[in-house]
Amino acid sequence: MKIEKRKISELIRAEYNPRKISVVQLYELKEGIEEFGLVQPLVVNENPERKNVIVGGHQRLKLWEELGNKEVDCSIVNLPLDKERKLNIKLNKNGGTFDDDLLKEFFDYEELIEWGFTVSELFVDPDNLTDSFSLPEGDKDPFQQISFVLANNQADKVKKAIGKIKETEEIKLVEKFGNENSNGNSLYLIITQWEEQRK
Amino acid sequence: MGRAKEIIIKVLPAEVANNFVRKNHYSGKVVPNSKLHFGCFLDNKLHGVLSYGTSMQKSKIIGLVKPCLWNEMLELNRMAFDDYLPKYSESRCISITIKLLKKHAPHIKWILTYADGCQCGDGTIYRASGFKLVGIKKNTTLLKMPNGKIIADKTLNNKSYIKKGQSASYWKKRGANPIMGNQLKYIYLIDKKCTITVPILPFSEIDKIGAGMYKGEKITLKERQN
Repeated sequence: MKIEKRKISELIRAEYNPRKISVVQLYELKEGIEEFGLVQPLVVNENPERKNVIVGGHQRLKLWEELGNKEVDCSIVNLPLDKERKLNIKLNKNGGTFDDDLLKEFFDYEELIEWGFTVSELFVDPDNLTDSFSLPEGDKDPFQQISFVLANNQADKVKKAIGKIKETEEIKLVEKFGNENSNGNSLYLIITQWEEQRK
Repeated sequence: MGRAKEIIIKVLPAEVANNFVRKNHYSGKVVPNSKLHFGCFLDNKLHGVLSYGTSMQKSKIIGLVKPCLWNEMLELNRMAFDDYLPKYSESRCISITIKLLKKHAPHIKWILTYADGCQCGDGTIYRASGFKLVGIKKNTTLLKMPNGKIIADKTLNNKSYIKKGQSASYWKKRGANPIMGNQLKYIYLIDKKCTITVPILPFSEIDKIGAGMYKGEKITLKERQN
């Protein structure tokens, strides 16, 4: 890692920097800098086309400068613009919030997803959305799922009974009403037999 | 109507809609049954969500309007807006989503919705949007838990709570009580040929029963008009 001292007056803020900071976060950051100094260097690009552009540490630099400092320690990187933008996001992703307008102006939705944003964290662009949809039509599905709670012992008994009836010849003749679920058909047969016995 | 006319409605992914609802709905909760989410955009930003889906006890609900097949009704499960939207935005958004339903799901004949007259309001927006009032019921289902949290009894009666032995009846015995207030049921007929099978109540019934509420405060309709 290349650490160098740079004059604050020579550093350039990244035009796209989307990081926002709340008053509380700023206050906490300031307290830390006043107590410990700037223990973490800024990240600054030395790429000829992006010379002296700050990649990470905009808020810290502002506070450092307010304390009367003229120079700052910088971790120097040499990155083309696309990589520089990616590093900016990666450095900021674990704290603070982002300015939606800047994110939208300078970054693609897809690349932000690739760099670790979730869909719900991102700006939602109405231009990328549709107003069309489809919903199921007609009557209720002729099948239904029933769930109920059984004690472990009861569940074992039910499972065993279903397993046993599946081994019989009668299961092949059970009225299925189009149902392909073998457990459902087995349970239906058990109940039917129980009803017959009670007659 | 003002700037409410500029609102654009688009279909939202559930993840985005649910995230917005959690942040902006007074309950902080989403309805798992919601399956169609609309986003309300103004100045190119998301400021509201309307979530439609099926009803919890649909077999009991379906007969409220006739004729109606299983998939021919929807419930407006959640409506959440931030403070950015101007006056009349809510009814404007409901109106646009109904137009979209007519266009893309013409088989949907009616919409059911509930107003939470315990914590939020008695349904001013629904009335303004042409919904009919079909029921006012004293709340028995929204429970205030001993820790102050508000939770629906049907949530406590789902598998995960029952497995832990912490059903609604368990909590009721331990100090969970229904919160004071009413639940108001509203219906909007998209297909005007259909019939509402239960009596339609005059809105004045809200004051008669003492179910008036606006923005979480108990207040009659009459007081609001003055």
